[in-house]
Amino acid sequence: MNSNEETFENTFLSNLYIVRPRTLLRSPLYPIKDNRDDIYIKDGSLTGLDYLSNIRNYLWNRETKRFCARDGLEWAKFGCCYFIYLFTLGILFSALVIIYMLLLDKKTPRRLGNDSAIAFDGGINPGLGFRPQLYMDRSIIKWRSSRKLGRESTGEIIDNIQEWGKLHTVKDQFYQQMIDCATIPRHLLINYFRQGLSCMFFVTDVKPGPNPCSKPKSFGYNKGRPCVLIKLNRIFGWIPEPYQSKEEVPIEIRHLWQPIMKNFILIKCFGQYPTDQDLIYQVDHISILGNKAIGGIPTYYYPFLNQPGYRQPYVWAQFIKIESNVLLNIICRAYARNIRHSTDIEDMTGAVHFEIFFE
Amino acid sequence: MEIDDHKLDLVDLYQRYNTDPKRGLSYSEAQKAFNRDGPNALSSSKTKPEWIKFCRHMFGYFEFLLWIGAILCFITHGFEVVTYHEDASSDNLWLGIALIVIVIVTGSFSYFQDAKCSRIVDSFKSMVPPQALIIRDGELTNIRTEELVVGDIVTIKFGDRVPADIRILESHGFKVDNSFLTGESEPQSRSPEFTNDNVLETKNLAFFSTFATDGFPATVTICLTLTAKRLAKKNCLVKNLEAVETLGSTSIICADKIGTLTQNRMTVAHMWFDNQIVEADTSEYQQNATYNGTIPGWLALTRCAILCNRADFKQDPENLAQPVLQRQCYGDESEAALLKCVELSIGNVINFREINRKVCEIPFNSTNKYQVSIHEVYTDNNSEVDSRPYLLVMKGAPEHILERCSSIYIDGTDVEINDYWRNAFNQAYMKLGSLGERVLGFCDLRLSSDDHPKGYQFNEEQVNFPLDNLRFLGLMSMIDPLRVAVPEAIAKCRSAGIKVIMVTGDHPITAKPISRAAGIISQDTETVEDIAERAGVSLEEVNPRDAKACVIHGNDLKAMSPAEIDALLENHPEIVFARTSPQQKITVVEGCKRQGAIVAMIGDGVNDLPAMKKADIGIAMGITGSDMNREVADMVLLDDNFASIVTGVEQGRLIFDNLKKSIAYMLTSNIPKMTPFLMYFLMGIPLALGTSTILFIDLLTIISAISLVYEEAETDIMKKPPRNPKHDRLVNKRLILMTHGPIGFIQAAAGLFTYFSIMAENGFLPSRLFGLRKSWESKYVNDLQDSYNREWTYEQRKQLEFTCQSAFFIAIVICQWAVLIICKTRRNSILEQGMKNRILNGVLIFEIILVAIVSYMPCLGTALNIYPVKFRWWLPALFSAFLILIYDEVRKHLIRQHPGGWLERQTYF
Repeated sequence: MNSNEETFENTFLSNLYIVRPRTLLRSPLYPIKDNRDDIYIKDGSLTGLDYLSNIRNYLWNRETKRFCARDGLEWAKFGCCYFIYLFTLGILFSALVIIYMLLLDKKTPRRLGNDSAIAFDGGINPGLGFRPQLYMDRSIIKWRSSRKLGRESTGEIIDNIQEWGKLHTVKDQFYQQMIDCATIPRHLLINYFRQGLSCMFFVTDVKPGPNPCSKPKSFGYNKGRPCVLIKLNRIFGWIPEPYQSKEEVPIEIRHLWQPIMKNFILIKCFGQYPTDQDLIYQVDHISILGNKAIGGIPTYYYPFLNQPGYRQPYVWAQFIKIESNVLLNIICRAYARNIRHSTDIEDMTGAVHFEIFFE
Repeated sequence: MEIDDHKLDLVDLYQRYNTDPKRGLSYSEAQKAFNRDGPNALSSSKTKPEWIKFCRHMFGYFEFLLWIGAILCFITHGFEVVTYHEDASSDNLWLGIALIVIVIVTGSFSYFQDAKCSRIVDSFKSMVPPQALIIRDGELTNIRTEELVVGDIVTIKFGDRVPADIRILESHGFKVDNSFLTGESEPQSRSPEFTNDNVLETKNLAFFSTFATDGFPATVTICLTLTAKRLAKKNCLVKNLEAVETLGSTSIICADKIGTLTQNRMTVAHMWFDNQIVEADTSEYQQNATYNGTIPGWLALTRCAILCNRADFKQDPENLAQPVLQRQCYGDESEAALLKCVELSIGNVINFREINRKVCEIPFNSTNKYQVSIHEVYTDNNSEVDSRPYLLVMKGAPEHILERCSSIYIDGTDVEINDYWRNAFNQAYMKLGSLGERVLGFCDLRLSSDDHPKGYQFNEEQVNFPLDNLRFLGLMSMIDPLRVAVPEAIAKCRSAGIKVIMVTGDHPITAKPISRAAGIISQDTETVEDIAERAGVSLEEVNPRDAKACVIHGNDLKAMSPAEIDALLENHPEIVFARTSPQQKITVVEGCKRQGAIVAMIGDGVNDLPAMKKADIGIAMGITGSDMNREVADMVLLDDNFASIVTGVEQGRLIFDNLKKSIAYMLTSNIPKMTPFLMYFLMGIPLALGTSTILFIDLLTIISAISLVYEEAETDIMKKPPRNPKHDRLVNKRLILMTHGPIGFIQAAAGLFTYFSIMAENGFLPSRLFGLRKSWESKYVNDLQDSYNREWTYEQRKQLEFTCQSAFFIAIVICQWAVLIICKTRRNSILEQGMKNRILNGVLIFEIILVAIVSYMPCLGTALNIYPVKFRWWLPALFSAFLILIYDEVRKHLIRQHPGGWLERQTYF
């Protein structure tokens, strides 16, 4: 006993015993058997060094080839069991998810209208989007005049707008099937839409003739007259209800309303706060409506039924004259009976916010 | 306040308090003093006010974090209001309010539980009211210490607790333990002398003793208190709450013999007369007699037992009204046993003694080993009285008595003692001795009137009467019988893997038969001596390893080295230590502790005290135990019923098991809670579980976990060995692996499936969700496209996200429902265990109702960002819950089928 203890004390750093206090002899679940020669039973409590060597030997014991107190076979068994378990669970889970996905219609979402999470308490309310949007975490449109910089800084912006609008210029297989909705009676349109056809929308539709918001003109950015593309969010099955009389129209655009607008969703951009309004001298809206003071999207584009090759209509807002080196807060709103506006700064239902900064 | 009571003369002191050292106070004066001063107890002013206790629960560590969180929420909300005015979002306000509600609800809950627990613990204290023996109106009376008043004369003996602050009038070797007052660990001697001006230092004052208790975290307190309450119903008083758990892991019980295993009441068991051994009849109405009550041999023996006996019943009417066996006696315990025996069989003992007046006596001493007395015999027959008026009766150690006899009284005639009778005597003596009984021999002699005429002056100093050539009458043997429930309780301890060791001050010859009767040495095991006797070889030739049982004499123990004691304890499952001193009892307890055992020491006498303190848990007897024992013990068996220990062990194990189940339950929700965050950060999938829902899950988890504390024991609780406290910890590797592994993953799968389905139904197929985090979380992306080319604003997709989170939350709650059921057992099938835990059942129902309320009540939901979820979203979780139940039932089934198998080693926590 004594000699054993001495040799142990002398050589413990190099030996591979796991040191256990005598008290473990009686453990009900892991009784230490006498014939386990990798375990050294020590009387009294363990020292700090004992613990260190135990940890080392626990992690890797050269003698018994045990890693974390399990040898290869045990690890294989253990790993096998967990692998089988997790594999089965994973297969079951994936299979269920896949089967579920297969059951879903590829074209029509399962949840529509007020049934969907897209609808708030008061029903569906579409938001607006804008381009160019260069940053995901900011809504600023910022560029430098080419005079100052000596080179184009508007490339990214132009690319960003092009990227979004390229679908509108491609004459792909879907283009062949598109219909000119302006000439088709409204009650027939829905049947075409259900067949997967969608309305034509050309870049030229926005403004016949020379368009200040076009690629050759760098969308007005190099001249300090930025064009911002405003679009209404696609919402499956949503049908707009435009204002039918001047009385219903919100006060801010009432003076602009004309009966021709009965078939249009109106879109208007303006400075968000009074200071912004003072610094924005003129905003031109370029749209099918053909009215510079306010933009409009014809209602025959709706409802959107996820038709292949659907071309989303849009409106240009060109800021003809703005103050440079000032951050301008712009808000664009869509107007229709069934578009509500919120006063909450963060709630962009029926509106979109962005900033313009021209150096 | 100036105290000068210790400086005064005793006479002045008596005058001051109007008392008398012999007679004490009169009752009327004591009553007056009581009305003036109130009870002799500590005023409760030092207990903390309730509001402070309440605040401690409201501002604990965890609660404090929540408060800080809430305050931060409000500050953020404040900034938002300042910045955005009415446009500010109210999310932070709601979260803050939710946090505060959680703190207040959990805080109040734990406060009320704690208050309830402390009320219960207080009620325990009043169950063993400390008593004081005082002199009032010249009589010794026992009163409760609260009723003591200034001026009472108190008597204190070894092991008593000092009942009040007292001035010492008379003392012999009086020592007090002042450690709680002055910190001196050594007992301080006290005597009537005034030695110091300082009240604490002077030797003639001793102080009222108090003890303090400590607190635990609320959940553990609830657990322990519940059990303590349950045990108290079974007359098992827990003084130290921790002791309950310790008792559960006890692996060795050291029991004192006298008063613990036995009744501490000597009773005559056998008699030998007319060359036959008969069983003594100790029943109240003598209906069990196996012998004729008129045979001369028996009458002579009993006459000797009546006369040669100094014991007497205590002469108060209350005592005399009791059944004979329960009456209290003055005198030696074996004499008391004889007295009770003859009182039962003959009756009117006192009267008989008065008629046959004692004229001379030599009391028992250890050199003589006998006791003799001479009586003037009363008979009706005058002639006989004249011829032989005196009868000498003697009793003592049988071999010494026989030496002094020349004849033996057999069947009514005197027979000369020859080898035949000596042999018969020896056989009877050995037989009775081997039963563990204390044997006494009896003899008498009619003194002849020639040498001792009437009126002869006997003198015990000069011994002017014969002490040889007496007439042998017979033997009577006594035993201290086992307590009724002891053998059964010991058998139960055995099957629960607990080693029961007897540690007694008795002689090995007495201890061994008792330990056999009690089952400490079982019927078929043999000691070294037994083997030697059976094989007819000498003790040295027997291999000690062959003997499973052994009886160790205290002297042998003294000579052993610790290593030898270790070997002894390891090799012999059944051990009896006899003739042990208090010091050797400590040695035994220490030896057991060296083995890694948790040791319980049960005792009733002051000699057990050091060992009780040394042991992990000291258990005292409530009736026979001394005050000091009850003071030191962690547990008191109020009705002295040894079987209560088995209940105690069971309850202690139950606590440990239930805490383990609680913890296992609480850990299972970790994986499903963590998965959404991992997927959010690693795969960019929008968050599937929000912070407020996690808080809510935690709240429900805590409530449910507490309900597991009320779970009943599993069937194997007393069939498995005690846990090894060094190895089998509350939380171990297997528990963590089990709860986080299989069960956690099923829950996470259920939640995720629900999440993916809702997302997909609303347009976001799983393929779309990967890597979506950045644009999903951006407030500036107002047109996020889903798999159906729809475009979502920030608000819209947040609404979708919260709906998904609610569904995920409900999925976890439903899975936790199943987990709560599987956590009820660790080995048994749930079908066997049943659903008898009413609180747990209540929690199950409560959880569902609460979840339904939270998710379907509009205003409540907004506060926690929980949105209505259609019932069919409950289905995947219900399926998972079912899977969990099946999985665990199968696992437990396999564990039961293959005890000690691989599965058990890997998954049994």
